Amino acid sequence: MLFNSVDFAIFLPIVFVIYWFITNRNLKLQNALIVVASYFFYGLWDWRFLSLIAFSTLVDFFVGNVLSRTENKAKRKLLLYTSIIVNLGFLGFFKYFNFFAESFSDAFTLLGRPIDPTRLNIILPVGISFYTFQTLSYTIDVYKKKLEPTQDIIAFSAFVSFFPQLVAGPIERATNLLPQFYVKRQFNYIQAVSGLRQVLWGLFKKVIIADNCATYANLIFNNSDNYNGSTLLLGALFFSFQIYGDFSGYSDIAIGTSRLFGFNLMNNFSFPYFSRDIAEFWRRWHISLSTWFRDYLYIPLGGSKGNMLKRIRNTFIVFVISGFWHGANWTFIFWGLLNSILFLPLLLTNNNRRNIETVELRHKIFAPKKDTVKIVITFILVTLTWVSFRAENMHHVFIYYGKIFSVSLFKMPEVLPIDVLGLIIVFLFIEWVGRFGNYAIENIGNIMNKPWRWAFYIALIISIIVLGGEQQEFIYFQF
Amino acid sequence: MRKFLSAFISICTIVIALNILLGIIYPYYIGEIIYPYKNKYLEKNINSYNSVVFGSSRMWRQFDTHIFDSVLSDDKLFTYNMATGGTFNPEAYYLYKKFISELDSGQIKLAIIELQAFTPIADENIKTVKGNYWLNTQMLKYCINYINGNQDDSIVFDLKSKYIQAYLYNLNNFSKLKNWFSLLISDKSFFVENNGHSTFEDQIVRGGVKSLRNRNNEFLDDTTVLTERISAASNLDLYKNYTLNNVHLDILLDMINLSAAKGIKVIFILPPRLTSESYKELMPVFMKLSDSDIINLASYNEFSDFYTVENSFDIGHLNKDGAYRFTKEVANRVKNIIRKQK
Repeated sequence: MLFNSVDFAIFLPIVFVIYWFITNRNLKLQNALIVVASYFFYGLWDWRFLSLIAFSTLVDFFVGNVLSRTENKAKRKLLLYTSIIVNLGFLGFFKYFNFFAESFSDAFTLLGRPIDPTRLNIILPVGISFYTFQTLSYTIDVYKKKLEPTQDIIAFSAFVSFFPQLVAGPIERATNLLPQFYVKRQFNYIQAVSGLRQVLWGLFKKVIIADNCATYANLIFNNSDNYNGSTLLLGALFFSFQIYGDFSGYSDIAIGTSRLFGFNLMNNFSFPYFSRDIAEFWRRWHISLSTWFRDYLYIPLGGSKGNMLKRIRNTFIVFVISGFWHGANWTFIFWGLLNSILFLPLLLTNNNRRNIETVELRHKIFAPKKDTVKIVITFILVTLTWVSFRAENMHHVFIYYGKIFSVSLFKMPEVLPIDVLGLIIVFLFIEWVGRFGNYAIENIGNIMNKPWRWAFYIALIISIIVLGGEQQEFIYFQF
Repeated sequence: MRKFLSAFISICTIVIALNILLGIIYPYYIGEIIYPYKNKYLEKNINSYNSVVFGSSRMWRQFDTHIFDSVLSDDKLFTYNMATGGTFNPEAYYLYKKFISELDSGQIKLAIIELQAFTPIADENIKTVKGNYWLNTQMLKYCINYINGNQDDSIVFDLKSKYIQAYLYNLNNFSKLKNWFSLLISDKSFFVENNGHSTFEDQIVRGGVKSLRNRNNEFLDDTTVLTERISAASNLDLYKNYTLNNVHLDILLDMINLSAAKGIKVIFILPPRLTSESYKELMPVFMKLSDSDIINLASYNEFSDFYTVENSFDIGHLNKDGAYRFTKEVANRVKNIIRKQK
């Protein structure tokens, strides 16, 4: 079920009404409703893969419980590895089996001994990368004794399958989300209004920005042989806004929907295209994943402790694995590698934590020239790295870059949709003005009085209906 | 909760009210691509015309109003071709009924309408404005009853559900804002010139759509496809005894009566080059209409000229030469009907 579908527009109010009007007196019933609704939500895509979620839930619930009852180090490690193997095993099988089979085959072919790899005709369960990491965080935190294991299987099932963030995140930590299932949720007007507003903004990003940009990004990337360098650069720009509108829009809808049910999820995007360097970009882009890797991979590897060589190694490992997490293709690994290369100068000069605060002081419209230049350069670099993320294969990546960095870059673009570029400018303006909130229109109440605010909401709703591009699936569903 | 729900419901109510308001403001032809320009033109020049043609691209491309009017010069007919591409049954009937409802009595004397088989709505068209703008409650009822009347039981449910979906999409008037703005700002004079008639060749010469030339080339590459249409039109009498769809007959009679009330004489044309399936559906209805209300130009035995490669543009349409012959034939037959009535 897509958030931007009629199905969801019917599903959400029904669950909302049952949740607050029928099951509101009983916490267990409310949690059970979330589980049923979440399984229904997921099952509409493919009910067969519900068994994977259920199995993963049971394994981690069981492992967590046994972990709490034993102090034996070897046994604890065995339990932890059991969870890791089960979860990553599923992920590896469904997502990476064919990739490894083909890569081994290619390697043998290079060595002059070609083999025919076994390929599996399997589909990737939607959201497996997300809920796998979420359940893993639970077991690891219990293992590290940062979290008390839950005894409530329904609350735990609801935590694993919580429908707003089940298929594309944010990847929640058990320490943040699970305790919210233990306490009775109270309806909060301010929280609900803010949630609905965030849903609206997420829909705007997805339906207007991402879907309209997708039309041109697809056109240009799918026919890159026929276009000049400037058009290809424009294609990369459209993809930059497509992926940002798509993924951050999804996150906004997920977070906003959760708030309607009384839950607070972590922020997943914080205006990443206003970053002044790559390090800042990665603190603002897909925050739930980058902090996951920080906490469960980078720090266990030694983090920023140790000599410079170790720090460089750790950084490379995190970026490359992060790239690989996104998809079983060398293009994603290369994308991770490119980001680590861009990150390296900041690391070597100890400048990777230079830009922590949101750019510029409040109440000023424009950033200082120096910051503006940095923002533009960072955006261009990020846009160029997206080429590898979007390309079909490595050959496509190099051809695409080759054409961008050719004399044809200085010719007029062969595709120039002024209307979509206009939408992007309007979008960037709203994001810039609202960059101090958790999402761009969070503080609209401080700027506009009620009639204007309502007029703005109505205009947003109408523009979503009128200006929406052709409905596309969320990109991150495939990860 | 009460405050939240009341704010939410209030905003939804405003949005719905705006949606309804737009539905009232829009012209009835909001989703059509060519018809609105023809309609505007005719409205402005209504005193220069007293006869109209309705139907699909077959009538638009094949009915040359100049030839028609010259044959009927004694009757002082001045005809405007309102037919457009891709307007099928029920859309074409909807447009005609709306058109006459806005006319003053006596403004138009004659309406020539293409008899069309019912076209199931394609999946890709359900959500498009062109695919559903005409689907008001009355037309939905017509579609559902029509489907009940003559479709195979195994596909009835699927067909009906598609029309219901399209009907629901049509309730969204915001989606038609783009069409509305484009109607307000754009000028498609090409479509309104030449009394609304344009052959495919004319459009190609004017730098029209590339795909038109391809269509013509594809047909010329393999003209054997005509054989099937010829065979369908060779034994039209065989189709007379197929099941009559009363819903179709009723709407045609309704159109005749509504037109008569405004002083308009309606003549339905059974066009050449349809499929056998279409003739199976149309012949029983056609036979129920009075001879003074119909013209049959489908028979291959009688009108073999309409089935030659030389007179064809593609499998379903005649070219410029074919259009000339077709219009002459219609004109002569209309002349006879008028003479008989006098």
